[in-house]
Amino acid sequence: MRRGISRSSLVIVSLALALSLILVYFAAMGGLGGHPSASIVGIGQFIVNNTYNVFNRTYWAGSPEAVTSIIWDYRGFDTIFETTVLFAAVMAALLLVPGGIRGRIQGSGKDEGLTLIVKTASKIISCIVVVLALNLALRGYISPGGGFAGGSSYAIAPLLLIAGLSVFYLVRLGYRLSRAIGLRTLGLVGLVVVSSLPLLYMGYIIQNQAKPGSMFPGYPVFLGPLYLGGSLIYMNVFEFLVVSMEFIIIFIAMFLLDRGCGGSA
Amino acid sequence: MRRYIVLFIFYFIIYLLLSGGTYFTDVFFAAVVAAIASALTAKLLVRNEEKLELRRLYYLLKYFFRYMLVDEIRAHIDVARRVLTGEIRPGIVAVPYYVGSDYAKTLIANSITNTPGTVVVGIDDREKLMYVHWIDVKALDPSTCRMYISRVFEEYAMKIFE
Repeated sequence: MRRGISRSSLVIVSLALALSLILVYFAAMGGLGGHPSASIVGIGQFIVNNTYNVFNRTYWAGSPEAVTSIIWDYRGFDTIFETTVLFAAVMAALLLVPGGIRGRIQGSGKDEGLTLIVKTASKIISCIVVVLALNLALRGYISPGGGFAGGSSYAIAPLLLIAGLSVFYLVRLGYRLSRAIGLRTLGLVGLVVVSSLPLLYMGYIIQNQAKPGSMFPGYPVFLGPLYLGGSLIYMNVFEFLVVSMEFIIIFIAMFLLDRGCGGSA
Repeated sequence: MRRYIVLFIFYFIIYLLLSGGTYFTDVFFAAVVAAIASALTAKLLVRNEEKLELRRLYYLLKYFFRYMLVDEIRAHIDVARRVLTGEIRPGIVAVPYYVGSDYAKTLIANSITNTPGTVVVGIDDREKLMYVHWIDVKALDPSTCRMYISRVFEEYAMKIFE
């Protein structure tokens, strides 16, 4: 299918160019903020000095690759626990594979899903997962969690419904590919707006609170009796929207592709 | 309407339990999230909202405590004894059920599986039979098996969901 350059693509390209130029302008005008102070640089200095220090091996990691040294040596626990979490999550996902991991993929083509018990239980659990994910996202500035963690947790709800029931059930519930793409774009626009709003006050990109050398007064930390944590709550909410919808897009697209009906949803 | 209110209360409590606090901000967002979640999931979870009655909630709570305090402990002691003495006669038996709703069937099946010694390995909805792996097969006749394994669970499941 060949087409000439349509008018809409011209509009998109010129908009993108204009936006890039604006961002480059603000970046050149100091919109990225100043250099971090020496006290923050200290930890970086420590790693650069020690990671492959053949003369003083007290704190060395034996590798010139500082990032890998941090991931597996200085902050090794973090990586181990991340791996454990992913391992457990994938193990749970494998439990839902019809016929077990050695089972053949059955070509019945019918909209069957798993047994009635799994169907009912996955419905209930997926609804509770929605609340849990929103809790993670909305309390991200008070307790561990945040938009990314919340968004990826939210993705468990549709995944459970796909595994337990079917992707068509999910589509019937209103999880449409087009809707998810729209919400994802909305979230991304929200992130851009919140992070570039300080530029209008001669602040810098992703500025949250007032800082020396910037006229931006900062996002409100309190709104009446509500504690909002400045821009953090908006960032978390939009990030939640972006990440959850991205996962849903991938799931729906994968399962629809798998069944050979790419465009029908 | 009733299903939205009931689910709102349910999600509101879950959110506050997850937050572990009752600061104003948490209560406010609990209400917002509960409203969104109940609007999204009410039709998915509750088909017939006439059934959402306090009487059923009472039986649900009564069943929860009875199951956890009586049935679970009895089954644990029984299996612990079998582990120590090696006295087992495992096998798979068919257990009939008479409930119609999906929630009732799920409650019975999960109650059977969650007690040590019995596991539901399959369900045949047309024949209305659950296939249960039993650590000590006391009978082969389906209705006698039901007496041993699932009669109490089913009585409560009927009162709660039917």
